Amino acid sequence: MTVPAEPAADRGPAVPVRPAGAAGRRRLPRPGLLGGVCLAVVAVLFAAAALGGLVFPHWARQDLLLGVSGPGAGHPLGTDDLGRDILQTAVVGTRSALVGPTLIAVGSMALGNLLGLWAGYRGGWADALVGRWADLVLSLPALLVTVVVVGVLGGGYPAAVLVLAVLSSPTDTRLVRSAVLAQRHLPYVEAAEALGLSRRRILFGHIWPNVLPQALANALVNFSFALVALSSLSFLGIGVPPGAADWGRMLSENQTLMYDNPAATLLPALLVVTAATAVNLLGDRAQDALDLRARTR
Amino acid sequence: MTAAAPKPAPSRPLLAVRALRLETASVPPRPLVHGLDLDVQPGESVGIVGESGSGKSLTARAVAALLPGTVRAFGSVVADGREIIDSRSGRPGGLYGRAPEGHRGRTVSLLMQDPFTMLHPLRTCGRQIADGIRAGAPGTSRRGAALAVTERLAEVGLAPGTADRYPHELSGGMRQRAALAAALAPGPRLLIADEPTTAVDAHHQGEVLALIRRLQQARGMGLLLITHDLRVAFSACDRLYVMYAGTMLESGPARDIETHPAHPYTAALLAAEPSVRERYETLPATRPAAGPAAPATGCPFAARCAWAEADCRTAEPVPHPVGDSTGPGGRLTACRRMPAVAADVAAATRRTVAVTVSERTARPLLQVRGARKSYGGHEVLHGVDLEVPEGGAVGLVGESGSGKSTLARLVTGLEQLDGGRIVIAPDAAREDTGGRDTEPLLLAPGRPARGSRLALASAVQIVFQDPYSSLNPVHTVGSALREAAASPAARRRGDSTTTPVPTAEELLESVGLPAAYAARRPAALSGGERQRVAIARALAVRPRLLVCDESVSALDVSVQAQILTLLARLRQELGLSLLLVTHDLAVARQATDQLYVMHRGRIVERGRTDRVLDHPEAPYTRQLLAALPGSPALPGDSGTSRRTEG
Amino acid sequence: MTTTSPATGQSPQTSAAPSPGPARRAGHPLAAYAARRLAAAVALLLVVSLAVFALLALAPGDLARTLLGTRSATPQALAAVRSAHHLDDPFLVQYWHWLAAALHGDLGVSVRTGAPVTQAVGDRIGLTLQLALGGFVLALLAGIPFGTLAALRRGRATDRIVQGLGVIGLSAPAFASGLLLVHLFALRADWLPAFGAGDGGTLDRLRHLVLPCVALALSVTGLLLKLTRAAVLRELDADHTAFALARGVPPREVLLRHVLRGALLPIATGAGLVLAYLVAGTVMVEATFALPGLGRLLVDSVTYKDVPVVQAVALLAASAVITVNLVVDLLTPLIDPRIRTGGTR
Repeated sequence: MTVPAEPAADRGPAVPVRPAGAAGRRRLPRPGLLGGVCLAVVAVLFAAAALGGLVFPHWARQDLLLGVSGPGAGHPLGTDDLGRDILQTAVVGTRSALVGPTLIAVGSMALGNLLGLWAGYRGGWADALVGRWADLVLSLPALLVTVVVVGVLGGGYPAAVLVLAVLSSPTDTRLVRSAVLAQRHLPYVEAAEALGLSRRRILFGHIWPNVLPQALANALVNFSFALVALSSLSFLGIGVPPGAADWGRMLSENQTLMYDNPAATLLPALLVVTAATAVNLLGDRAQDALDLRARTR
Repeated sequence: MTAAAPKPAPSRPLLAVRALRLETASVPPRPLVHGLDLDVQPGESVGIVGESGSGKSLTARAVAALLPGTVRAFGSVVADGREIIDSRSGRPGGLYGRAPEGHRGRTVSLLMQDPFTMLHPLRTCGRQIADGIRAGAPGTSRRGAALAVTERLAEVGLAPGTADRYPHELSGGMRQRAALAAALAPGPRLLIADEPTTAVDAHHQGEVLALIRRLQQARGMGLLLITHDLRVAFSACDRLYVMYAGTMLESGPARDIETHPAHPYTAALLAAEPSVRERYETLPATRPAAGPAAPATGCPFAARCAWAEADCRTAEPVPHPVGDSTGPGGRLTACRRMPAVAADVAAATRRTVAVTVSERTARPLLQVRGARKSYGGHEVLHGVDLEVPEGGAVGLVGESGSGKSTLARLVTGLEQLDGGRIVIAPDAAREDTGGRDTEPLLLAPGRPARGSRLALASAVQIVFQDPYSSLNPVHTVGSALREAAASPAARRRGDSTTTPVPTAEELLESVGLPAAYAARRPAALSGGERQRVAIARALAVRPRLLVCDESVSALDVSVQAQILTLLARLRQELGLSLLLVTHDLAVARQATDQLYVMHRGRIVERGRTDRVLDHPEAPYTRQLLAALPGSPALPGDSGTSRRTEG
Repeated sequence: MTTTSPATGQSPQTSAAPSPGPARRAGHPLAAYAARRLAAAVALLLVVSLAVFALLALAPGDLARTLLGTRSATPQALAAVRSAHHLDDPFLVQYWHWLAAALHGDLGVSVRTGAPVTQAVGDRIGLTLQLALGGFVLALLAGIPFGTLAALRRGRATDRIVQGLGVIGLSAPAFASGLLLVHLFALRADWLPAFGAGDGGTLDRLRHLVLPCVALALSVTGLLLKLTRAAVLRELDADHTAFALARGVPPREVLLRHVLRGALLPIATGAGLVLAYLVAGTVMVEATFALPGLGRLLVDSVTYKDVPVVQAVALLAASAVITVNLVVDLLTPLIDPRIRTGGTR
């Protein structure tokens, strides 16, 4: 069990112990070994998403004579039943695996932050309304809702991204709302009010910068959730059209090839897990660093 | 100069701490407590006094074998004849930390600070007390435990029915009593009380202390009281240890230390303590710590000490006897320059009592008439009148929940009136310059127009209590001050004053901080420095009235003295009026000319500060004065048992 | 749903500060509380059912043709469908008819098979419940003990490993972990069947459900682990835990009666989130292991635009989630006296 080094009334030098060189400069927490690995993984994946199509422009070339084959010359991880190279398809598929989650993370952060700031600062009916909305959406299984909505109403990949962005936003909303509520009666906010500063100035200049790091950490978690959800959807055949390079698609289309070329399904599966885990871990570490900073402040 | 120790020292102390060293488990380890020696005899009451960061609370945790996993302990802690520190691992703590069987509970029990978090919210008080009873006497039957719970509750003055209550159903004072009952349930031979009165309302502090003292004497139990408050320590302890930055600087009988401090630090601490009975010309404050970190070598106080020599900064301080006193219970000081500088220190920290101020006849700057305010249908201000004269210093005292902060917020425009009015007189200098604000500003119930709000903000600014949340952590000091100087309130003030807009550097200088602090963020500032910045931010508007809402009560006493001195200087230099809201009568005595005593939303007494405090008329004011620790009229047992009904 | 950060994941009941002072009030705060929760659940159910019904109206193409499905769209047939579904009435009237029928157990006819929807659902609900229950129990058995262990060993190797595995579980879609399991235990080792629900025998069904249940449990375990660890850590850091140890209460008892007791509440209120994971996971696992359950039915119906069946399954899932949340809400007063005595809202 751990208690803060000194109880609340006693926290004076908890601050001063910092080395003098750090005088008030806000430093990013050092990522550590695991964090470094995660960062590297994410960097490689984004590079693949950007450059994959350029490096392997002919990934979709079929070789029906060859058909499915195990790892061998020319195809380090073998081919699928149309004779397409597994490795190339997977690399090119990185793009659709990352673009959607990025849009979802950014979109839900924007929506969630705006709603949260509004609800927290406005209070009253606005807060009640936003609170009910967040409760409702949080209790819904997002993946299922997306399957039903996109499946029945159509719209493909863009619709799935939109629906998931909306469904992911309540965690941001709650986070920002509770942070705003916690801060709006803090002396520094009231001092700003006593100076006659405008609401917008207080909200965006004073409160939001203090909430932003948490919102960014949460965006990482949302990203990883969206990555899993989108690949699940394309595994179910919703979203990404057939024939496109996509990890979820590869999994469902190559599921029958498990006996002939296990790599055809295991590679995309591993890629999804690795990418989601790396981003998730980064989000957790960011969260931990923020908690630590809050505790030693 | 050694008074007789309260008891002849028995052969075996209840608690013997030798060369206790605490450091963080980080790499490299950071020292927290340097080689501490401490004894508690059976039945003795010993205090550890220190400001924040002195290591006093960690020492208490070490003795209770409850150190966090992030701290390592070396040296020796022998309680009731048993060593509890495993010096090989340096780890006495942790949930499964090895404390000898029965050490926690039967030998030592720890009462913590905050009654609101100390008890488990989901368990009844009775069960939590019964926990402790079984810890003291394993195998106690259910019925036996229930009987014992009733007994323990009676002991602290709570009704038997309290056993079935959950903590949230009790008031703060009752929770503290229930927690005390739980702490005493295992029948400890030594009770450690870590700031037991800090989170309790000033009004009940004396009561809680008296209760602890009475139980200690009735049980013949040792008491180790951890406190930052010298008044508390002097009133409740036989012997004291004074700690600073992890080092023991002085120890000895409480009375001796009170009258003849043997360390410059203790002397300064005593001199910085305001008194409810006298007002001093100034509180001789030590210079503020230069830079936040304590030096790695030498006496930790050397950087702030006027008598420090080169040796003080390099040689480790070694406790040595004062005068001819030797043996346990005798006086020790860690100052290498004692007793050589004793006379100098005494002279430098001697305080002159201020001559009584003449009646001020200045016209009122602020007038509050019949102010009313309700929250959720519950009225907290029942028609309050208050006046602050131009250039005057007015105190507003009362316990928490009395409505004093609400009044401060009304005056500042952070809350709106429900009834009554607030009038701010026009600036007298106005007529010469032909600026705005030649009419008095009148605030009536309801939300005022933006123009009125700005006019109010340009005249009245506020400084809050908690220095740690007073400043936005993401903004530098400089940008916070520049924002304030360019704020709508400051621009509005510019219409009616000829004083130029101050720069951030000027503001910092006016509150005694180096201009280089403008580039720092709040995290790199100490509590006192942050409070100075908060004052500077308020001054950026060039206000006429500064409202200080408990602005010094979260600060260490030496820092408090510095801030009070700063406020006095600002009043003089800028002609600033002051409304000081505080629960601390001594602070009010030191810093104000007029005093209003508030109780349950009403002003119960008002008048010149010295008259109100020397000759209180309202029963409530007398009660407040009587409740002070060390007050001759501590409420006795009859007073405590009056509030026993659950 | 994403997991909320420990600080914000708690329900409003736990975050509200206890009001100081005696809080025993007149009336029955518990009854009022239960009534409020019940009303909220019913309102929520209505909102969700409206949304589910609106699916049909919003689906692209002509409603009557959609409902007719593969049957030939003769004018007579179209007219019959129109009158059967009150398609010429205003939207809210249509909704009213639909809701009334649904409350009587009539959820319409499957477009694809022509059989009553209730029958299609009834045929498959058993398997799905078995799967979900199995996965849930496995997740509970793994998530709570390991989450507690990680919290007790905070910052040490055990904690890092457990947390790391938890994050992997949380990040692994059920189909990915499912395929991996199939590869390892069915294809490589041939211990367990890879696909299908078995021939109906109890033992065979069990054998077929092992891998799907494990795959389902993996993702839910990650979530439970995270919730548990955060809740236990918060309790370990609490003053009352230190105070209990300080008065000599044995550490084992402190862990059971103080720490876990306090951690139970945030874990229980996380149940809604857990269920959301479970429901989503079930759909994925059934697709991966070719299990003929409700999830499979949903995905197939979505593919064939069999809207009545989709509506039925969605309504069922939503009701399940809302009911479980309601039950948890009604049980929390047993855990938290502050709600029982009206100490908080």
